[in-house]
Amino acid sequence: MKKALAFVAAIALTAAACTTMTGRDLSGMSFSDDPLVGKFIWHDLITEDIDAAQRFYGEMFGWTFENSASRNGRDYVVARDGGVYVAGMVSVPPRADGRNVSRWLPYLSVTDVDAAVGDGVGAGATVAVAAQNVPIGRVAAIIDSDGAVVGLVRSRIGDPDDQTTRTAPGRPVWTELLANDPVSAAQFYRNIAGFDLRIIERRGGEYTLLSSGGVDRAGIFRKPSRDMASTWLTHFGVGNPEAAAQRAKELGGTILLPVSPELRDGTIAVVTDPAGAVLVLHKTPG
Amino acid sequence: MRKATRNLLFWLLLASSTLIAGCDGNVGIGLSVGVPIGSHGYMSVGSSRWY
Repeated sequence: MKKALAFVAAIALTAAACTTMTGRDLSGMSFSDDPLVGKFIWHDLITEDIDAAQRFYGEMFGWTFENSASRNGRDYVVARDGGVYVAGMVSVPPRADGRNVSRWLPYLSVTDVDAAVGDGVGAGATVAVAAQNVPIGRVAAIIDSDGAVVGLVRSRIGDPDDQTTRTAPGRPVWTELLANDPVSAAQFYRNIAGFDLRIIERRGGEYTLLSSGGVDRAGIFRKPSRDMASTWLTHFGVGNPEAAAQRAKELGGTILLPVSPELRDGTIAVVTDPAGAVLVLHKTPG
Repeated sequence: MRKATRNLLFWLLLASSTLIAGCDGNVGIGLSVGVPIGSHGYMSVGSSRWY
């Protein structure tokens, strides 16, 4: 009888520990039954100053933060916007060579992470972080054939559905690749995530939409300057990009591209956070 | 009967232990990717070419 009681106590403690450790309230989120292949389902900020990042993004977007279990010895926090977990932040140490590694890293849902890594490497990508299991599922990061870093994920619990990730201020609202070779890059991502490709003309140039299941998931266009690095950019919704960019500057960020009529008709501004990670402030109805 | 109860409790404990292993991971990924970002200063060049 005592042994039985001990077992019951152990079970109760285990369940309590889970709740205490995480305190995760997922009641504001819903998940697909099957992975939404081709959707960017998560965005992690890789940052050399996680405290400054929390201050910055907390002020910018009203996010709140929860500590998570460290990942490979690195501090990790997840950010909430109201009832939805919207992003994570990974603390990384500065590199010995002083080169900045702070970036937003989008994660693309794929059918099979290992196969996607293999297909990507076969098409000219290199592995940034080898495929591995984390609690959410299997993940990896690669440097694509165009030189941009992207994450790959296969969730074991389904992906946040489109209702959960609907566009709103304070949320990731779009993901796009500034590529050296948009045509080649589009083929690369079609191969690893099965995208349908659609090229549209916009302001005298070509913009490639990557869609999946009839939903536009991301875009690719030729980077405006050959001297800048190929990169994936995460757009965050704001009510007023001009005011948000100014606020970013007041909070220690830098305005790279201010709002102007010639820049996407005044709908975006491009800024960095205090550690140098680039983000796009994208006009989004509240 | 005691053996059956013990087995049941064992499996309950195992199941709850499995849950705890995953319960922190319902959100977030957290890979440490130390790839330099390269130059982004040139974004200010050619803002009209943001198609």
